[in-house]
Amino acid sequence: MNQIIVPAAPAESGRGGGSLEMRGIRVSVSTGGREVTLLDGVDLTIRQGLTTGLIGESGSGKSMLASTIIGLLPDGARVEGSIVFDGRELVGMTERRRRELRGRRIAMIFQDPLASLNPTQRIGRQVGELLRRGGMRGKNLTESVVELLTRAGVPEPRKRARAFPHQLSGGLRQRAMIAMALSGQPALLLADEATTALDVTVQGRILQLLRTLQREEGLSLLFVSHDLRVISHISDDLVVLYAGRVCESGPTREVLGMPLHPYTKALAESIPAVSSRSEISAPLAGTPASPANRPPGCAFHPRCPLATELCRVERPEPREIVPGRVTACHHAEKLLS
Amino acid sequence: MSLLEVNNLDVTYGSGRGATLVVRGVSFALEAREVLALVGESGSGKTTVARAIVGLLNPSAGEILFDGTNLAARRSRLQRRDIQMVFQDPRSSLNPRMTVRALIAEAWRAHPDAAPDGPATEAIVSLLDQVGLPDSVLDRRPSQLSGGQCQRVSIARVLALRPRLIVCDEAVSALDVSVQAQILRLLVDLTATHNLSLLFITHDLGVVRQIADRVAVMHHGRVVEIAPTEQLFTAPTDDYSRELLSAALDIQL
Repeated sequence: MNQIIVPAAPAESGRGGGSLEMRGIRVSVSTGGREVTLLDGVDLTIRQGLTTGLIGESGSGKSMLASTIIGLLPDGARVEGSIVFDGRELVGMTERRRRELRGRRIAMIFQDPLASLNPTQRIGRQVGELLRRGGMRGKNLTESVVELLTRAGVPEPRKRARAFPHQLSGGLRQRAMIAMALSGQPALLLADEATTALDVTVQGRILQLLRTLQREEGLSLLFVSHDLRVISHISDDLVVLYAGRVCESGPTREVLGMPLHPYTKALAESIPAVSSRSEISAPLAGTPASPANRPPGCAFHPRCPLATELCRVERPEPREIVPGRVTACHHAEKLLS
Repeated sequence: MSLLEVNNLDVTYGSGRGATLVVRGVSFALEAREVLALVGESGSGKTTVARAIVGLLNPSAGEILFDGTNLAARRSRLQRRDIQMVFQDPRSSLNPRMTVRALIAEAWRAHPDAAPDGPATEAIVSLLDQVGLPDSVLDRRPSQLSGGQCQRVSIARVLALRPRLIVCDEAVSALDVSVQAQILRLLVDLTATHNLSLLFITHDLGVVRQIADRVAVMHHGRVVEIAPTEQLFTAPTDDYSRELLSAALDIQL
């Protein structure tokens, strides 16, 4: 097998590492002379070689969180707090050092590969871009690209390398994106709604591929999605986001088995089952709050069946009420069973 | 007699040598007040079937009977009124410059025979109430409403025409899950209160199992299986139905 060499990469490039600790992250932007806090005090941990699932509805800030890690924020966005990746602080890092990480130690894949791929360039050229920039040429480059496509499960990789994005199916395009992400030998992969646009049968295969890659390459993964079904299958740890704040976090099985925040509970109950017949769930009132218009106190209180006066005035601080389980709900004890 | 009967429907895109048959020999019937789900992956032809039924495109062969009458290429105004469609993305199917009041009143401009005899505002407020919206939204525009509220406006607009069949093309797919249940509840309740049938197109098999009376599975332009919902989920007979069902995920606990 060919060795993939990325000469421009920093010395610590390669396998291993990849853990991330985010503490008290606040991201704010000013729009129309008004400051909006898109992420408001977010804690999140990605353990080395494991998957953290980040679930949230529209406007919860989940994509913003992935962008904050990789350093792709809108102009004028202000970031406070700390993100430690492999022992290095990412907040306040110079753009030059950040570029060394981006696409290499930390890679990202998106929902719509057709929008992220260049329509005028052949797949192979795009998958090999980072290697080319590192100085690789000729047969070495061709073989490395074929190997990357093979690792991403692309059948007939030599033929596909010569294809243009529109000539591939949605599933193959996402595999090409994954091959591209792998080209920098990342320790951490950020997947933002990476299977959302795919058909169910294809979605299952991409999830399987991500799991295999994780096992074989020791990748750490942040899997961002609005789909609790998908997230429950791939993530070890779960973080639930609502209006830019964390409702609750903990090991996925435990969180879904016994949610300690009314929002998580409502989300889990609103997913219709396929393997058994269920009634349409009692709908949660109202619509998701947005960071631009966050209710005072607990952001979820206008929709919450447990809400009291306390919830209307005082923001619940995250607290660990069961070992490993953090919840930001004044009344979480009522959910213990 | 069924409310809707589709017989050996073919739909072709393009013409001459480039013509592609995307729907082949599709047949099914839909009864009054029935919810029929049409499921399948992208490219299976389910949206094409829906568009042919609504009259947005002409089939190349086969017939569509509504109330026993063949729907010709050129439909009467009443035939067009009877079958309405709700789309996936309410924001892009509602004119962003119009108020909720104008959006609903506009439906009556195309179909004056469905317009109320009395004051329009009263009728509009009543329609908003039927879809669970307060009259305070009357003068708002789509950008001032949430996704779920926009979808309710789309439904109110369709109800304004008193249709007998609503074709819902991924009508809850773009909504947040915590909002989906509200719209599903509304649609199912409307079938009873408004004597409506639904042709419900979706890729979400969990939703299908909750609301459908029967399910038609499409694959490569054909209906490969059609069965009562519980029968399809517990004992699918077609290989592709089985594959589709086994690929669908549930929350893993």
